[in-house]
Amino acid sequence: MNVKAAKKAHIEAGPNMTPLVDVVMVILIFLMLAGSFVGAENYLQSKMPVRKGGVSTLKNQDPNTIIDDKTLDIMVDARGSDHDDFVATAGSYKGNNDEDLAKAITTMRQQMIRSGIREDQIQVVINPGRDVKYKFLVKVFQAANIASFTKVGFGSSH
Amino acid sequence: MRKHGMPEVNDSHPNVTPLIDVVMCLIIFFMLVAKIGVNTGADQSINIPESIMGKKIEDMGNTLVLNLAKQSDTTAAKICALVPDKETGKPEKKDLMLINRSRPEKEQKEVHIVLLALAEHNENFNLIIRADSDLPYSEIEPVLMAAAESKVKTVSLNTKLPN
Repeated sequence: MNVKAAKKAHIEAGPNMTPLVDVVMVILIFLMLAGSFVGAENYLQSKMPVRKGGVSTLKNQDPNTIIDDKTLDIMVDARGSDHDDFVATAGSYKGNNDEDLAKAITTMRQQMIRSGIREDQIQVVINPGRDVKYKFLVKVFQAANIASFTKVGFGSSH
Repeated sequence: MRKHGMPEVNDSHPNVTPLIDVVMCLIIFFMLVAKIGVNTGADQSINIPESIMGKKIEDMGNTLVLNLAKQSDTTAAKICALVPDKETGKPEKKDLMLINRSRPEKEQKEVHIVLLALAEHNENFNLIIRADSDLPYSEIEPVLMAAAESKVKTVSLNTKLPN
């Protein structure tokens, strides 16, 4: 038996992986260049409140489409020298914490329901000052969502 | 004593199988995470506000993203959106003005015209407002009014999750 010859023989000749690696690398580079990463983004939806008066009143509108909703108003004012802060006023609550604001407007909703108003008739209208920064309005909107209000919209500035 | 010679060394190529496994994992990662070829017209340079609430919009087909960017030299917001070109029909990034006095009278309210065209007979049309965090409400309000006057039923505020 020729052992040396057996040792020299290349026993396992698997498929050549190098071209596969090349193809896979090309696909990877394509995906890295063509794709764009989308950060975690979400959307706060506002079904435009349709009221008999206010910003969203439309001329020549079919009266049957106007819903006589009861509004829960939140006033938002800018604070600070550079309008870097805000204060939201809803009923007896005055502050800038969205969780406390959510609790306050939940209490107001319960009072409205006890007075005979249906829950689906209540809409939150945010009335901001002209100088209030957009990020603070989003905080107030968020507070309304935390309090489980689905009808949230914006009113005229003051 | 029997001498043992050095065994013959065949040319040993590096084992590339684990490399392929790693690269395949990376490909699957990029295929799942990246969005290829989807351009909603969202201006990624705008610093949108943070919010923990909100929904995902699965079907972006029936939406228009209106970008409101803050400008360095003025408090007025720059409005732009991806709108279909009148002649070619292809979506193009276009600057829009609430009132553009350089246009003929009937075409001055550019935002209104675009929104009316999209929202007319379209109950499920969704206007997405992608505005800079530091814009004052005085810049957002005219856009909301334009949406209301154009009979847009749903307006969504684009926000991002906090870090």
